[in-house]
Amino acid sequence: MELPAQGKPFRPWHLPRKHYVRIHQWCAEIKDLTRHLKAAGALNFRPLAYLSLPGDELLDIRTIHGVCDSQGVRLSYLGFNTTGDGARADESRISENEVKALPRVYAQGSMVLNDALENVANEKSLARRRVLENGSFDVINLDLCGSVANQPPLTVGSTLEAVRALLEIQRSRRVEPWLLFLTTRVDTEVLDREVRARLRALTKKNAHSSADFKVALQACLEMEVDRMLELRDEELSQSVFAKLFGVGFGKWLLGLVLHSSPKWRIFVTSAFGYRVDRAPLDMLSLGFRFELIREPASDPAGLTLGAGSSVVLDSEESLAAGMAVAMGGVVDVDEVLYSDGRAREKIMNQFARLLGQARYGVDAYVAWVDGEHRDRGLIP
Amino acid sequence: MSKMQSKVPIKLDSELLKEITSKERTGEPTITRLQTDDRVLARVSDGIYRQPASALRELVANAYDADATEVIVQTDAPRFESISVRDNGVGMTKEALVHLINHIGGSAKRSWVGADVGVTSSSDPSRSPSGRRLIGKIGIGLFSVSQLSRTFTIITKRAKTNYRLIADVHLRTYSEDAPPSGANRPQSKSAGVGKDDAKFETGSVTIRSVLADDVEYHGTEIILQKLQPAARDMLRSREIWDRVNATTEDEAEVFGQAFSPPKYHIGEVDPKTDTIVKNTENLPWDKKDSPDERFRKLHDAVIAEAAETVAKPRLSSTLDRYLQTIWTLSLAAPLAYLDEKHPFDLSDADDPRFFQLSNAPKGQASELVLSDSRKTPRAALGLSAPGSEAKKIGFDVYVDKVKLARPLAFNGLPGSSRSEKEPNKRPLMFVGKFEASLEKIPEDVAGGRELSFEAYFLWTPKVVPTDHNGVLIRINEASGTLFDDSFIGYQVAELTRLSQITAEVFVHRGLDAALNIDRESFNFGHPHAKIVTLWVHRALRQIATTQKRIAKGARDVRRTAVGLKQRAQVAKIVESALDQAGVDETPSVEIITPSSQRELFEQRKKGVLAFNREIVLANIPDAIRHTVVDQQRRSNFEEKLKAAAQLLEAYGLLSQIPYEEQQKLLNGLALIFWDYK
Repeated sequence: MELPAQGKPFRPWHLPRKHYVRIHQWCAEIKDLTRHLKAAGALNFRPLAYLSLPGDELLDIRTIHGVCDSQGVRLSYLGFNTTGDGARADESRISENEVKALPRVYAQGSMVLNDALENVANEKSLARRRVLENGSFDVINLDLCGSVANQPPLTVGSTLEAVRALLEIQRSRRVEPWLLFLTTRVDTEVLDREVRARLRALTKKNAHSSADFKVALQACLEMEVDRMLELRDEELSQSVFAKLFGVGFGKWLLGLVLHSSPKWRIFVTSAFGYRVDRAPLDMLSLGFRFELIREPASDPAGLTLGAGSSVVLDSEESLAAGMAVAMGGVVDVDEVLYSDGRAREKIMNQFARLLGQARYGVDAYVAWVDGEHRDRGLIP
Repeated sequence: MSKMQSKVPIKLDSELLKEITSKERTGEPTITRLQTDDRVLARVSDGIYRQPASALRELVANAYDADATEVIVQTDAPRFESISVRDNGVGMTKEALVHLINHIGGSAKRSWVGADVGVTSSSDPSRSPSGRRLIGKIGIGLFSVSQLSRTFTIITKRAKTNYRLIADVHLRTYSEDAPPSGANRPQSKSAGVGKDDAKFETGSVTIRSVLADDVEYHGTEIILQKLQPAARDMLRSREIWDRVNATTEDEAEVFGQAFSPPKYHIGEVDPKTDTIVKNTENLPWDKKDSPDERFRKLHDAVIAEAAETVAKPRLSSTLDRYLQTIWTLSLAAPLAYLDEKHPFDLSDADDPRFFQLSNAPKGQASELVLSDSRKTPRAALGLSAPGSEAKKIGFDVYVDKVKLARPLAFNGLPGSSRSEKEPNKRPLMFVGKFEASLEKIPEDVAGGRELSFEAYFLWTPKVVPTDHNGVLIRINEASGTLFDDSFIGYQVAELTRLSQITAEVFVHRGLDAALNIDRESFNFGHPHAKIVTLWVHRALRQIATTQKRIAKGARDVRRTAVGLKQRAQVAKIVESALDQAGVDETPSVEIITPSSQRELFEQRKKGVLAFNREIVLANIPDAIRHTVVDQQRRSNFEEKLKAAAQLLEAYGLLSQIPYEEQQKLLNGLALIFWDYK
């Protein structure tokens, strides 16, 4: 039977740059992690456990399924998506039916909850219960449309509270490394002022206490740290502000997991950005890898030599310096794609195929992308 | 509302089909009015199928009939707003979907229409496309769903197609208390249309097709979006939690203790928010357990109750409604037995002693001697009920990550023993079969003249849970009736023995026509049902004779061993009373000073009514003095107390209540009858 596409309108997250992030950040890092977990035998008896905000079309899950397929592992997912009762719910139901038909998806262990991620912070919520039933997770992908910190500190029900709750669950319930992806708007208008100030204070303190960190931060921002500290956020270029936010946020995460037992260290494994509204890099996609620090058992009686005395614990400063270095390498996806027609075409074709799974027409897609790119002045 | 003349369906089906096909290219929806037969509509007000387990059973049956190998039921427990039932069966063609939509409550199965729309085998309308014997009625499945949810979606796909069919069903809501009336009510007589022919609009359906690039995939998913409050509250065990939550401290004081929920439950969500957990779950499994392990632990937890809480646990006092639903579904569906061990495939290595049932009118059961060449009842009697080969059927049902199996085991049963010293405690397995061409019944009787079935009856000292006491009839491996503890109206007063029997009848041919429309009861006027009833009753008579003989033999041996002279006078009195009551077996009762609770559990596991001395003799100061005279006095008193317990038990008065209460009851008796010198 010949069926044409059925006229679903394309949305901003259908632009190729988003798929570039899916492929070059999410898939690439999940592939690395999967290899590691497989080698350690962790995935012999269980699927890769994935928590995300999959939207109505579950495009992330469809993409990541490709990695699982190539790595020969099953995938179980827990999604949060508040759809209401209307057309979005219809779309979501069909998408989930399709995704659960994918060969590597562990259907009975996977579900999208019609619930808000933010509820996870409430210890008595059903959302938290689901996380505890299905977790811990190998990958947590917080692909936010807005900003991770649009509310003041200490606000009940804020996204930051949910991030912290997830970290707490992960920290205490697993030993294997895991990945956190965070996609967030990064501009001064959508990030709460007080949150910005506190993240900046973390960075400032670190810059004063560690020369290595200061050097790394300077290289990352491509400007004098002292000069940067004199300026208000609004006075920084968008690119400097974005990188500064990335470092500050990473330091906040470190603070949550590095000082209480069991301790974890965090690496920024990748940083991608693109322009949504104001200026380049007002949207960031950050990849964090968490690794448990195995501390040697001490022998207070001094009877044994042990083997662990040579283990050197990472300092917060050195881990933060690493984060600054990684943030310095942030990839401006718009720049990559619009300076390289072949790269753009490749990712567009890949994505068109994926959109086909989600019932979009390939031809209509290419025409739509061209129009969008012209409208946005990205291509002539 | 418009009443439709009925002979239209064929035209209506084809019209609908034409429209759907013409809109495939655009993906435009086709909207149609949902219609159903008057006969079916009438059931709406009867309240059948409001039980979630019934609807799930019918959907699972439909999946089986569609040649699925796997069914995944997902709920959003403990909220229970939505349920999805997904199978990997052959999926529905446009024709089948249209037929289904236009005939909710009816069925294309078992008729040649089924083959035309791709629902059944092209050569045999009583079989699935791959040859399974059909167990469900597809329209009934959807009808039962309509009782749980007024809004649901069907997503279906056939292999080698590039589209999914989606039907969104919205049913009209009318008062559930009154039968549909007014505009909705048929005026059949005045319209001159037979009542059975009348059709009524009951809602609307939107059908559309969407592109699919997973060409090879096939299956059907039914998503119940908003459960009706009654169904939702039932799954939530609302009536239980309301009582638990309503018990104030004052009430607890008045009634002695707070009302507690069943031991195992899925927890409770706060009905005010639907997002906050009010009572945390207590499940018999751990979240790390595999789907198989989860079900095994659920089963074991129910069995363990016989040692830990009450001699004869009921499912309702052990499991909440949700877990009961899982249990019920696992009994009803065509599944493998726990441990993949069919009763017909047991051998000498297993606990039961085997007997063959006679089909002769006054026949008697004979011991079935198994040998190397006839290792199992299946081999010895040439039985064909799908058994350990059930694996070959390859039909797995999962409910929220629990893999269902028939929750019936045949070894290590509570109160049983394989010891030669206690032949009266060894389970007895009676096996038989019936196959006949029913020449005497009219040729045109619904269901035809062929009836064949096989059966087992397991006698065991204690059936746990008590819900498994009775006979369960499976037609082509599925059952909607569950265990009938009246054994189809068996009139002989054998209360104790009948309460010790679990039986299953596997019907291979016939009887289906005797099922009532609710598929949960039989029309016992039907010739097939009459024959099954007679056969079951004859079997029970054979079992009674055999079991009585074994029990008496064991008792005689014991009496000789103990020596009549040495038996206490009181024991003689008890036995004489039991004889008069027609009870063969003297219940075992022990009063002990246990070093741990486990010691009591162990005794109770063996079927002994074990009591804690400290509780039973509580508040009797003299009883715990330790002079020789007092010990003798206490010992004599305990003998009397045990005799009283034996009598109570023999009349079935003790096992029904929890052990804690049994002990309190005995303590009460002790306080009354103690000689306060």
